[in-house]
Amino acid sequence: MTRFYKITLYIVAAAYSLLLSGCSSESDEPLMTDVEISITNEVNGQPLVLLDKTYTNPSGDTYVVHDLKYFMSNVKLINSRGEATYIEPDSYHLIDEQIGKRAFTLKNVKADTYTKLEFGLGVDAARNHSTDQYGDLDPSSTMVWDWDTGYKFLSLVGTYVANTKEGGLVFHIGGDTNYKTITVDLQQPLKIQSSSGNRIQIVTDLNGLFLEPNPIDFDEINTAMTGPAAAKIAENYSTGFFKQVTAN
Amino acid sequence: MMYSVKHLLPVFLLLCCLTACSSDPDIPPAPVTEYKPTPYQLNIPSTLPRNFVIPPDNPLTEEGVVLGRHLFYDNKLSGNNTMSCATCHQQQLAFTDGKSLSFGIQRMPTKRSTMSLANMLWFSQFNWDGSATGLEAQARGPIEDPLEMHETMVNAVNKIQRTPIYPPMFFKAFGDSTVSEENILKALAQFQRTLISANSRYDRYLQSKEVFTPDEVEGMRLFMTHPEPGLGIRGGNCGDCHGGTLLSLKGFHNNGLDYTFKDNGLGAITGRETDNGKFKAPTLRNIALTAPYMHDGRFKTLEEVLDHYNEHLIYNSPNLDPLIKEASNMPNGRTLKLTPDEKRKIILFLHTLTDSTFIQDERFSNPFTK
Repeated sequence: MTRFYKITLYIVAAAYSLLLSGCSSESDEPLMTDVEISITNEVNGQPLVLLDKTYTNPSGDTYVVHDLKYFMSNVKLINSRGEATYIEPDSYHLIDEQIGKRAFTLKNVKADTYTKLEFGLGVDAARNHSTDQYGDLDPSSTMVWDWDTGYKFLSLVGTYVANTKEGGLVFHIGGDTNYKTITVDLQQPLKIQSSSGNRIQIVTDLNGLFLEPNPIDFDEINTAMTGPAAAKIAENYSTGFFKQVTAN
Repeated sequence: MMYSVKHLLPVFLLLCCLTACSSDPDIPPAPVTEYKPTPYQLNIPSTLPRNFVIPPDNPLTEEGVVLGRHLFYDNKLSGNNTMSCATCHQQQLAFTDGKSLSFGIQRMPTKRSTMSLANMLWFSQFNWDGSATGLEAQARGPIEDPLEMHETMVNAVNKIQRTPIYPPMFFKAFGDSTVSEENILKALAQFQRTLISANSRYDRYLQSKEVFTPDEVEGMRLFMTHPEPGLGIRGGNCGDCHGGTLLSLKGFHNNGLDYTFKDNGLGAITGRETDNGKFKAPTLRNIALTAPYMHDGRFKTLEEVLDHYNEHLIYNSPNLDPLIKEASNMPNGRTLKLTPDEKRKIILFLHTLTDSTFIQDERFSNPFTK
């Protein structure tokens, strides 16, 4: 009789737990949603205009931008506990001023409170020398040199007038060592509570490429690819390019 | 009123007979009864990108490509029935014509040089000035241009409709034996999307199936490199516009040919002064076959092209591309300043881009002479 009672208890307990888990899987289903990342490239607080505007860099040289493109890759969201709970797969986004591509969408982001955004500027070494096409990686795009050299991480092309000379401004920054992982604090945390309206807005400042820690004077440097000049600009973009990151 | 079996029997027999005829391959031209196009299998070579776009309303089919090939080689698309697309786009010259400026049915020159049709699948802006944004739209231009084939689409449709061969081909390709402007252009676009060139020595080198000479390797390196005289990096700077394995980054540039423009190129299309003098950087695949060079065919040889960038560039040309303006192998140099030996090596590399199978491929040849 005791044994029968025990078995019955087990069955009831099992059924109950099954019922509970059934219920909990419905009510605790975590909210998964999209987060839109949008970027405004600015110069001295004004949205960048290609070709028709002349800008002044921190060294006092003037310049006109014909095109600006760069890769944001390996995007992660870090929550208030410091955990990277969102890691975007095959994460390669080309920001392209020429065609006005300044936004991308993170898919299936779990509801949480996120306080930091992490991403790479450029293409990581693993994908930089392959012809695989993930995300916006495209071995036939203007962001490529050839298969050996890999991708241009950031391309800024224009013209300049400096104190002693004038000419073309060609910053094609690439090379594995210039791939920089950048972590930025969100000015307010991104609290995902519903499935719409989750956005992160990023504002850059082009002059940040020429300021700190390496001031760039166009009299001295008006071109860079993978050498020391490129390394200087890469250091600058890892600290001073992404000015302001807000969430709503 | 009811029909008796007796009344219906002849109809039934006739239907049987028709079906039998259509399935017999020996009796042309069989009445076509079924629209069932076969999808065309594009084999994309490993050295070319995978991100081409085919318009959803014009998928490639075997029947559409065959039809397009016939139309491409058919003189009926010209006003006086003397020219086809292939008059200027000749397969043995990688679909160019060897002339500085192309000619139309009046034997008068147009204002530009014929462009190669290799690998157009990967492009979205066509003509030297980017005026056509799809191959379907592009195909209309030369047919209607008074300086080129000088025919109206309406006349072309009527001439094609009146032939015995085309209406069944249009049915097989598009499910309608009534010829239409839209379907002529679609078929031409389908055929052109199959013109893939990726079996040059360069492709085989990339696949480690072929060895380059040291001079060719150096030529390739110079081709792809933007010079940085401050760092001792020498380069021909070609890859800044003709990079990637398509040998074109699909951009539009003023490459310093003139100080004043007879032809505004892209600027005439966009209306922007800053686009004046800009022309498409075409693919350099098969470039040794596609002389003369530039939008107006002003340079007869590759040596003349290299000399232009190296020595004769018009530095003060309005809107000169920064990628060119900045590129010199001498500090503060205003042209490329390569050595004669470096120019020779770049030209050696350019010859590795010739694809002899592309220019002999039966599938791309004139179907009327077989």
